[in-house]
Amino acid sequence: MRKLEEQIMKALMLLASAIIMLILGFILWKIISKGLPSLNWDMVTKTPSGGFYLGKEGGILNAIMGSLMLITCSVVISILLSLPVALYINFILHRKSRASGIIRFAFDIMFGIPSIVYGAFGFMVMMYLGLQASLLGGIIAVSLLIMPIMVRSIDEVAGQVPRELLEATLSLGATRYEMVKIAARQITPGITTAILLSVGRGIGDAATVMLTAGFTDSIPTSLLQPAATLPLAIFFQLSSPVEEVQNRAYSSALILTIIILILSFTTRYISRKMSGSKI
Amino acid sequence: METNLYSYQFRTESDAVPQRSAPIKLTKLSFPLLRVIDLNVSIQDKQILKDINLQIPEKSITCIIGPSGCGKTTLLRSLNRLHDDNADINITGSVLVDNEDIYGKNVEVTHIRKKMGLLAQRPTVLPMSIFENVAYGPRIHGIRDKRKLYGIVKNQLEAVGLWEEVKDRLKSPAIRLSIGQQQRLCLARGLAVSPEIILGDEATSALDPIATTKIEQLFVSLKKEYSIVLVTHTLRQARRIADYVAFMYMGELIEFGSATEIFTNPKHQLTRDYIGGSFS
Repeated sequence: MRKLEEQIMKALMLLASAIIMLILGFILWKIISKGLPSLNWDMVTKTPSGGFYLGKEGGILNAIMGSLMLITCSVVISILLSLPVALYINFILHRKSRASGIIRFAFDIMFGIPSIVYGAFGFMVMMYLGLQASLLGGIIAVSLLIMPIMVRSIDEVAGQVPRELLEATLSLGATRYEMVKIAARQITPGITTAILLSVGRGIGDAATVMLTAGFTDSIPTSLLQPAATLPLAIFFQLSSPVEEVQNRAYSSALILTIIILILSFTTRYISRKMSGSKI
Repeated sequence: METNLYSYQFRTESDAVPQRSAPIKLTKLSFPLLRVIDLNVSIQDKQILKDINLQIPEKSITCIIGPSGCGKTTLLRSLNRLHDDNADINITGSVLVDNEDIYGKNVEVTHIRKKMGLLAQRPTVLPMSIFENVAYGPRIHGIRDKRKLYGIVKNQLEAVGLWEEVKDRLKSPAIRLSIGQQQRLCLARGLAVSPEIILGDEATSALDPIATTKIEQLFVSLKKEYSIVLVTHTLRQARRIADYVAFMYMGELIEFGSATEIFTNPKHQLTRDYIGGSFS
């Protein structure tokens, strides 16, 4: 009887895994089969001609560059703000202290706020500052979106740093700041994962950038110009009545997926080199 | 039930013997390097250590033994002020190192900790290369000269018998060493800041017998230059390497004396029972 139970549970787990793999396979298949035919060198090297909405010519370089600029700046800004917060609530304050709890709770709330709200908030800030839809607005909104993700995932790994390691550092006569530096070094792989997670989330989010970064045909040359982004490019192409343009949406999706994969592999590689241990 | 019995015995005996902390005979010592005076430690009103008075002899190995939960580790951590960060812990009394009270008002904690190397239960290598692990301590204390650092690293790795094993891969991550090697590396790291005292908190409990023997031999050879205080759970280890033994029970120091004295002719009934194996 117990053996049967085990068999059934095993089968269920296998089934669940298979379903997920199948869905992933289906999505990838769809993107590749539809996107690959329209994918060509022009797609990644040229900005669109004839308008992004109806254009069959040119490429989506504007969106690729826009997305990359946007996510790079946002990640830099949010790591500069998130890392100190995560280190502070774990290593300077006591991990389980009341103050840490409050800060953590605040980030949990931020985490739960939908991305469109960040978009709307960013829009309001922009109105207040008298800005139009711009790269800067997008950066602010996306930074807000990914900051809680970073704090929470760095917080998670920071909690795993053995107390003994911290004490060993202190025992050598290190100051608390030196101890925190060691702790940060210990969790480098975790920080990398946090960056990856937030890049994936930030680069693929359409709602935040829709109201803030806007959309344009050209590559932005200053922070105050509007910027195109890949998710929005996909959205506009997909909602086009022209089938060729719709197919280009799948190419754009394929490009976005490839960008995320490349980022993911390189960051992992670099972090492995840096920490000298496996992730 | 068992504990009750012993605590009962303990009470009756202590009435008969007024001197709670065993009389300390240190005739051959000029003055002890480390003195614990009336140390009381409590965590959230629960008293963990009661009136500990202890003098750690210089250049010898002192083992602190006793059953689990008797306060051995708490005592050891108090010597290094590792309880500082915990607001729940209340400490009174004093600990003198070189006649300086480490709990005194104007004492800088980094300065105190530099004098004591701590070896934890499990090796805790820093997330960096083998070389950097040993060089870390001297570096934070201001030594920048590369030649000098190399000299220190080489010396200390030789002192723990690790140099021959790692000299070709000083740049590889310390985490790739075996557990036993890691523990010796941690010892070398501690020695690199030139402490006077080495504290070990069951420093061999995570190691296999061969690695344990190596560490024990190291302690024996290191006692020529350092004062070593070890918390140990294994009586056999204390028998093997201790010069002095402190026996603790329920937060109190029951007996302190030379290893031969404690192991062959303990004065206190509780010590006798513990050493005889009646409880552990």
